[in-house]
Amino acid sequence: MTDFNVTTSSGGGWTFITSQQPTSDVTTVTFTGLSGYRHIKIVAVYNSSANDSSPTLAVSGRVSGGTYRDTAARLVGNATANLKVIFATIEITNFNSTDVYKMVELQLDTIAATTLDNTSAIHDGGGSATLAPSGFSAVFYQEVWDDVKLTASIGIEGSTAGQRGYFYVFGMV
Amino acid sequence: MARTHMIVDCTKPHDKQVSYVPFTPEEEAEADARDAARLEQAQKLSETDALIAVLKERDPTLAQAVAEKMAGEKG
Repeated sequence: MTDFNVTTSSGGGWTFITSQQPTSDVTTVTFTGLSGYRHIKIVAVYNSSANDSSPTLAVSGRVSGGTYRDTAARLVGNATANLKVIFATIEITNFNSTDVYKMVELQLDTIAATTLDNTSAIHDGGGSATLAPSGFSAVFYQEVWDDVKLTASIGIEGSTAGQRGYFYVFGMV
Repeated sequence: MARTHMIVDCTKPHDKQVSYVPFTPEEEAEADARDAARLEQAQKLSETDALIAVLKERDPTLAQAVAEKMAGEKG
């Protein structure tokens, strides 16, 4: 039996890279300068900047200055008229590897009829009525990716100070 | 409302990472087209909710059957 051609990771686990929140409403959030990491993880929660009946979050990646590649990791929340709060975790393996599939996992959850804010202790995204399915895709580009872009269907709240989204980025070498 | 990209350059110090870039006219046109399609979908959803609400008042059993049928078709 032939062994898989796997290079041992030299890293010590997930490294915190950055956390940011938009200070105005935005449609996309892009993190650049990540080509040093083999694996990328992003954890986010945000308010859609307007009620959204079918929220989507699309993930794409690219070489620095190159063309964004659609990873097909795009989820549509369950159809409910007033969805507002979006939770997301995104993980991309082999982000900077050229010879293997880049695998993209996207999990999305939503809450209807409420708004994320910094006055409430719990925003429970566990409701089955609004739970979006998990998404998983594999893409093959012989590229060292540097940038990852998240595109929200309507927009990401940033203009209201107490209701801004938060994005956390981790990497593993 | 003009749409905006938020760019976070992770190679810079934390307080200098973020910049905001407006959509190009081409990106705005693409986003407008997507929004129009989404609006149409939302209107259909709203009409369906209204129909089921009326049915619930007049015939709850039928309303439940319609809701289950539609959930199955979405599913």
